[in-house]
Amino acid sequence: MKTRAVLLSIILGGAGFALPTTDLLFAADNKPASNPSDYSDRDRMRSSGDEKKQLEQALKMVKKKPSTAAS
Amino acid sequence: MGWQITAVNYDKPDYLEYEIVKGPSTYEVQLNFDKNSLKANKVDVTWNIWKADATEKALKGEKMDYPKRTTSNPTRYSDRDMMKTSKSEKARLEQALKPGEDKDFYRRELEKMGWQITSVNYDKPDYAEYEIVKGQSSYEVQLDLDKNSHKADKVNVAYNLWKAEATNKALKQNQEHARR
Repeated sequence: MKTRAVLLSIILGGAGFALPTTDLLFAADNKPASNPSDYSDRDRMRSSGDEKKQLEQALKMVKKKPSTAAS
Repeated sequence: MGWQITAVNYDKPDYLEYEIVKGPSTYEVQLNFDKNSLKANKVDVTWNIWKADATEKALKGEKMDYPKRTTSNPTRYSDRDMMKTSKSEKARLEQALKPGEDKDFYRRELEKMGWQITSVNYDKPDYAEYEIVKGQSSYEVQLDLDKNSHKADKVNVAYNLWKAEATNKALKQNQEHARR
């Protein structure tokens, strides 16, 4: 186990200390996204909420069905 | 207002459904009309969770013309339609991911249910956020954690509107696999 951990640390770029292999695998699997606020619904909903409200407000003015080219 | 209509999912006498884009934002506009007077009697704006191809392209910055035809398979892209079918799946997830457990429990439970964690958006002592994929479905699992007990005091399952690249890739792969 110890030999395997030391070998892995050398392969992964010469870390100065040895980590158990299971920790390394777990860390790779759990790596958080580098720009989470771009993908987080919780974050993005906060910033988009006003825009959505504005749209809803503006669209309430639609009185009649518009004619569309798509059919 | 500067919004571009990228898809017309439905254009019926009593119902009109658009997908719209402005910069990085997109919404689905759902308009119900009275058949006789043709006046709007219900207006809804939703988050446009299931996007038509043209909408995806416009979000990536491609210039798209006004659609010449209505979307060919609207039920696949209409939030109104898709919400009906995915509600039970979301409810099953919420049922399985009850508060009061630690992070590992939720990871194990998701895997047991066949969900793949495609992105860890946050992994903080008080908050963890995962994007998950199974087949062509994706959700975002939001865990509010107690700093001392490390157990979740609140669990939310959201529709995962804004997806990480890995999530998009997994969904695309699954879609291609389903076509074969």
